[in-house]
Amino acid sequence: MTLELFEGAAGTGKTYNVVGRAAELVRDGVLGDDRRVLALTFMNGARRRLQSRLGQNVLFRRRFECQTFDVFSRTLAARRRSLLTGNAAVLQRTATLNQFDGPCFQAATLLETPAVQRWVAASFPLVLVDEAQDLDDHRLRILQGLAGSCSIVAAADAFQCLADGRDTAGVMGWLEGAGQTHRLTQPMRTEQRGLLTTANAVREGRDIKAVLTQSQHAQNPLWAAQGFRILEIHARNAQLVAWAIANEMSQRNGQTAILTPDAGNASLRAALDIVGTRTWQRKNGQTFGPFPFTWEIQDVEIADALLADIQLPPAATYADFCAVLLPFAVNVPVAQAISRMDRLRRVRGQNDFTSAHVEEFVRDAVRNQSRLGFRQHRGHLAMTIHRAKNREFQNVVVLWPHTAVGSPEQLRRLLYNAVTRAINHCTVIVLGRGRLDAPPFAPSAVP
Amino acid sequence: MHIARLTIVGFRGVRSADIALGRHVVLVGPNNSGKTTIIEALSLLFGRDRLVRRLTEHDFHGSAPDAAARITIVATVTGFPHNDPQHNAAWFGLERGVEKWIDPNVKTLSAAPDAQHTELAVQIGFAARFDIDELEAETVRFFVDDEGTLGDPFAENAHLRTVHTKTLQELGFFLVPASRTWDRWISFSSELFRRVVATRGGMPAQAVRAERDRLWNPPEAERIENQPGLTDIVNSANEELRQLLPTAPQLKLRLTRTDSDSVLETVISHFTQGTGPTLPATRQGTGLVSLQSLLLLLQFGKARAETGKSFVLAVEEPELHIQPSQQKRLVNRLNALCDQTIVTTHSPIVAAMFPAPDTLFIDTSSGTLTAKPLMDTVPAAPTNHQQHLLYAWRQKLVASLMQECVLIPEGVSDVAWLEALQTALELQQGWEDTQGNRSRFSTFVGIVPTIDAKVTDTFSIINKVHSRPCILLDGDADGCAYFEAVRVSAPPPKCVVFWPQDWVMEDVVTWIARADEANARASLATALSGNFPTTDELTAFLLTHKSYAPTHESTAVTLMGNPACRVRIGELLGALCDILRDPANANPRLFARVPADSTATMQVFRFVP
Repeated sequence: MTLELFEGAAGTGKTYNVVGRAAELVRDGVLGDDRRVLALTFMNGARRRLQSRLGQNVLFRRRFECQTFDVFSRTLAARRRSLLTGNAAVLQRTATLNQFDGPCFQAATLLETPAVQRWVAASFPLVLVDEAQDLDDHRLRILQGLAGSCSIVAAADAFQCLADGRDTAGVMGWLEGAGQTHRLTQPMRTEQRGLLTTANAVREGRDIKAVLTQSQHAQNPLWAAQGFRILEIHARNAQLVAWAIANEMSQRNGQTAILTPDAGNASLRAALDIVGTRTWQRKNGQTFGPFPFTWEIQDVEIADALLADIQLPPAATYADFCAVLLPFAVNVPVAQAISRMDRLRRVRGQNDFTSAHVEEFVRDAVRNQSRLGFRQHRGHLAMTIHRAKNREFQNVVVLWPHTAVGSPEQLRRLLYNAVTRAINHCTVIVLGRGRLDAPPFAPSAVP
Repeated sequence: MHIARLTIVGFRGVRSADIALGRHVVLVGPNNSGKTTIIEALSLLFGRDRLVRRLTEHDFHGSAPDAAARITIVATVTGFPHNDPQHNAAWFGLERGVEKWIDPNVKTLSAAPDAQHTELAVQIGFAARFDIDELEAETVRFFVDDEGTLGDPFAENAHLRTVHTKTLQELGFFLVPASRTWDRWISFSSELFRRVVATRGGMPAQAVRAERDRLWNPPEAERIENQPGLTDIVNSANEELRQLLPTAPQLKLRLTRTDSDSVLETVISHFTQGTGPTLPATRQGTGLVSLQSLLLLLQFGKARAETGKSFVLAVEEPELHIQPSQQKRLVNRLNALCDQTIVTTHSPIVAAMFPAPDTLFIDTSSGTLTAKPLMDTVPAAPTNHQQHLLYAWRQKLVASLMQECVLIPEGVSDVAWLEALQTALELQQGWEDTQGNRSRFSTFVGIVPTIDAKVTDTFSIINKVHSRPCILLDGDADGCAYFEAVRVSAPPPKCVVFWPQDWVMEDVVTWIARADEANARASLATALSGNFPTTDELTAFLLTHKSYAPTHESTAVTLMGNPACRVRIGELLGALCDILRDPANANPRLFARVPADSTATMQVFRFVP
């Protein structure tokens, strides 16, 4: 069948084009009767966002299914398990893989069979994959199998793969060779020349300072261009770091997202706590701050936070667990965990549970939070760069601590991803002295 | 399309069942053998949702479902157009069913096609559980991915895909239940009628709209509330309403609810015969009405066949209300029109219309339901005896197999005598009969129309389909030889009965006459125009008239006229019935167990006059 690839740098409208092209194909009748578009993503956050985006287009209403590769693979491997019965090689290999890669490997193996390819296409003749550069071996094999019977619309930019050390040449080579490639070159996200030039310099591994103009800003060195600033903060004092962040935020209109490669950095978190609570006064008497923001955290962390408050007995009956959990049932995942236990009790007659069960139920509920439960924050946000992938914000503040680690290439990809999230303005705050002469901000020092 | 296999677990009296179904099959068996359970299982799977009656505790095997109790029904559907999943998008796909390949001969399934597994198939499942808190059943209809590892359909990780009603409509399953209300069939309250009209596009919309408008807004003079006598009541009601409600609503009386639906629902079929009056269907004989209704069903089948659509019909007891000549024509028409017919019957006439491999005997013992064909395949060159049993006497054979116990007598005259005695006994039976056990024999025991010297062959056929075959042997060397032959079969007959040493059936008849010898000899001499100075002459006479039916009948009727002989016949048949029904525990007069020959699975008795 056909594969169409949209390839282009960050902010050139890859997702927009992929969804638009899929809509055109749907309008042209690629689905026929009773069939749907399958949109595959890598993480649940991306799934929820893509689901909400597709849901806004009336053409897709009730005609698409948004799944992670993992869930899709689990379903496929489970439903066609009779084809794997007795295939010792596949079963042995599966046993060596983790709970996500195992089903993906099985699904990829099953999708080598044309009958299975056609069987998937009978329900999903059109498959949409954004961020295809993130495909690893198993998931690439899945897409290759799907390509046997389904039409595929994909978007990719090799430079935006954030898996450290993964070689994207194989994936990109196949994607480019398997069908038609549309190269997107027109920046769509921002019109800020400085922002674009800087992002390109990072992508190409050039010295970022060369495309910027230096000026003195308080005690800290500052380079700037239209829509972009980068400043170095030498102080380790959390108050001063906080002031620098808040000062940047005070000069922007609209939402600001604070992005960092290392959300665990302690001094950085201390500074952010201050940003969220303190008010500063300028010499002219004007005040700014505080800037309350929401930490967007991983599903794991949400679940951890929820569970930290609840004292679960190691093992108890359904009724006893209910008594413990009910005060926390205002949280949807807790309420869902209760109803899941109730169902198990009624369907299987299970009355005894362990704290491990309950924790697993809460974690599952957090992971599976439906589109309805997924809230788009209007206020300021803070999150890791990984989490900001494939999203856009009016303003971005990148906090770059010395604890950002990885190969020079990886650091550049991280910085590039962070900078290109901005529509209006991006400020990069580098903590520490003299780090602007090394990657990701400059090429490696020539020996 | 058709249903090739059906498995049932935990439904009603059936703990487990695995049934292979052909294209046109008839299910026969005693009452409570599980025929209706099979039909109801099919309608749970394939019926329209609202036709599925609400399940209660009693639908679960054992009637006391706990949280883990399940009803699970799985059917294998095959015969798809083009034998290709690509052409059957409603059935196959990631969001639909998993394709399988069936061996049409032995009905085994394979995940991929091969030399034997050549026909595309899909498996549909139905599962129910009883919610102990809500006190109602939760049901799910789903595609079965892998029958061998199905697991619990209600488990969290079951990955089930539900089957849409629209998909099932492609199979076109339709059930004609035994309890049918024929007169409502040709009316818009009948689902079938609506479907026929919809298929044929014959909704009389204009006539209905016109009728609706007329009923809604009748001419002033014809309005019911304006009729003399009613106007007073209506006016005083209006007066009351004016006092109570400011809007002063006006009471009007209208026929029906004045919408199209009520017009359609008030359509009642009438029939005119010859120049007679037109009468509503309820005033007609049931034969006419049921026949007309089945013709409607045929219309539906024809409409589906013409558009290349499948039609699977399950009919319970087509013999109800219809005379035998029409039954035959009807069943043949159904078989010709439908992709598959599944018929249950208590009529040997209907059953005998189906070939031996498609005649399934249903039996449920300790929760296990079995459906065994009268023969697996029709023998290419049947022996004389097989022709006799399976063709010439198929009706009688099938009739005997519908009973709880089956008795295979050694010779043809044994059959004739037992039937004659039984008939005569029943004719004589009166209300004052307090022994109560006299007619049990024909209720519980079927007599196979065997021919002489073929008792072992007959037994081997019966043994495959019926769980309780018994054998009646003469007390001579031949009888012993037959016994030696059948006792080693697996399983052996449940019960073997010998007449006394050197006795045959005619000796038994003479024994009956000896209950009141002088009188019996005299009246038999008159009835049979013979001369019987002693019972030896009587026996000799009967032996020379072995295959002469009038002799059997006259003898039986004459003996029955004698009170003492009548008691003996009653005792004989009653005792025989007791040992055949419960050979392990029965201990009646007239029959003595032969412990030396009896085993745990086979009891041997000898008649002791």
